[in-house]
Amino acid sequence: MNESKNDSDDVTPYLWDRTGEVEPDIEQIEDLLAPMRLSGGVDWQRVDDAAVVVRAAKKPRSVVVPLFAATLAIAAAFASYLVAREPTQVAETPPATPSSERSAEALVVKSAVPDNGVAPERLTCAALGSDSQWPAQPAPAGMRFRAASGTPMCDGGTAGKDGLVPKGVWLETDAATSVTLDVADIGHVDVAPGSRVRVVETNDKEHRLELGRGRLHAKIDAPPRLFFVDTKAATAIDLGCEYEMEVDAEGAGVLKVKLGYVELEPPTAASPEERRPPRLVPRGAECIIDPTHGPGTPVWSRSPESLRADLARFDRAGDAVALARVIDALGPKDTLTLFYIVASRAPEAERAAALGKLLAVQKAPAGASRARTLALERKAIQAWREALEPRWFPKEKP
Amino acid sequence: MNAPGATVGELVLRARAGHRDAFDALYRRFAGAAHAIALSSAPASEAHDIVQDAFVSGWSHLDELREPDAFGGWILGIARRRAVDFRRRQKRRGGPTDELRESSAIAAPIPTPEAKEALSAILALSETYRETLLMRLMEGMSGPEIADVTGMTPESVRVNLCRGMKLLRERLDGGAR
Repeated sequence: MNESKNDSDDVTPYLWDRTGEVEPDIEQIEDLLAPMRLSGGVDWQRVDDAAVVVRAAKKPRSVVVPLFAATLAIAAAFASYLVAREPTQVAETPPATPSSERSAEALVVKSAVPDNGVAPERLTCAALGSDSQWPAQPAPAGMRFRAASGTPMCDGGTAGKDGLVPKGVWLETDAATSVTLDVADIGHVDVAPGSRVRVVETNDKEHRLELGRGRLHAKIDAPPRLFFVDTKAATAIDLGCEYEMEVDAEGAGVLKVKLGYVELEPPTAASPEERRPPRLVPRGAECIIDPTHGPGTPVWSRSPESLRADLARFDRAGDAVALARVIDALGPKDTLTLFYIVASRAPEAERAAALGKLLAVQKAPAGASRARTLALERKAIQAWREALEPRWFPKEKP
Repeated sequence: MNAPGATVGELVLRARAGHRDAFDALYRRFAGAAHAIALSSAPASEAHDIVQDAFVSGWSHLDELREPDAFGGWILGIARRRAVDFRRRQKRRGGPTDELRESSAIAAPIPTPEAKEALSAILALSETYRETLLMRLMEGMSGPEIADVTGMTPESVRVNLCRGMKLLRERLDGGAR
């Protein structure tokens, strides 16, 4: 934009790279702040301390074995007590047979015996082997999985080729492993290699996963708002669709919608001023997730790479110059992105430019005057969204 | 030892192989910008700690970085999130509200009242301007260095410096400095 160019021309050599004539006021500020400049190097002691903690966290399997045995014994005693006390529970109590290791695990699941640092209700994946017909305990709530390749890890241990991931337990795939999760009878989720996923909830009202890191592909055929995927910085709400979601360990990632549409919500922990409104991401569109700011600005996946990169710069760091380039590059079939720029907290000059482009293809809806829209009045923004949504499905799709 | 002029990608690959000197070199290159970013959101007393925390995390998760050349954006993103997380935790504990962020950020070892005033004026600016100005005025980075380290285009850095400095002068002049 011209304004940006003019501003660029005004940067003095001293402000730019400390060449040219010294500007006393800038030099004074430099002198005042210099004592606060970062000094020193990497605190390797801290790195080593952290590594010890990580190793200790990964080690407990050697500790868990005796703990597990002890817990098993206590649990078995507790089970005997229950048998004697509650005859009606006998049928649900596992027989002490060699094949009951799984049932013992189930008992551990139910046991309140503390296990020194491991959550009292720590669960483990239950394999569904040939003896899975054993009916003793109702299966804990979870999702069935089957490995398409390799062998997943469950809560730190090998999970087998198929089985059940109980609520609360992390399922991890290494570089050679991929897994399919059944989401009750409404669809399935393919978990890619190098991923970490957890079943948060699964019942007839809500099926919710948490993607810690990695990539998943969800295909769901169900009423809207029944299937959710949480990440550190956003929640994907299924509105009847197929999509891919990828995040790194910090929560940075991207959502790409293949069919239907998904709503991407910011995390509830964010403060009101940090929260961004939910993003509707229709088929053929994608939306980055920034760990700090949450969902970014939806954009058609067909858009040029340079445009999407500029949009990401705006979403991640508020780069107004990159945003100006985005707005310049957007066309009449990009009302999806234009709308979310108008509805954002970008500088008003950029939002006004985006609104101008919107008005070139869509008459302002009732109650959404230019002033009200730029003032981000909720009703005006909602009116714009309702007016534009039909374009995002049949017309603007790739 | 690291070859002089080694690229960021080369340093990351060496660091992944366990060479601490390579990670030290990455720290020297990016820690100043990370410090400016941390100070932009968190108290000065915590900013150094946040930088160390970010680099400890970076060292632990270096294998998860797909593009070694993208280390800069990645480590600065970690620092930014650590700083924001700190602020959120403060809020949940009933700490200062966002409106008081700048006074919270300067409630730390600031050398002089004049320095406190200058820092307070910078922290009152929007995030983009305050981060860029802190890199330039406090960390002593030049415009090209800021562009190189942050991944912003030189044009964006120029605009941020220009607009930010203009607003800063207005604030300081308005404060009868």
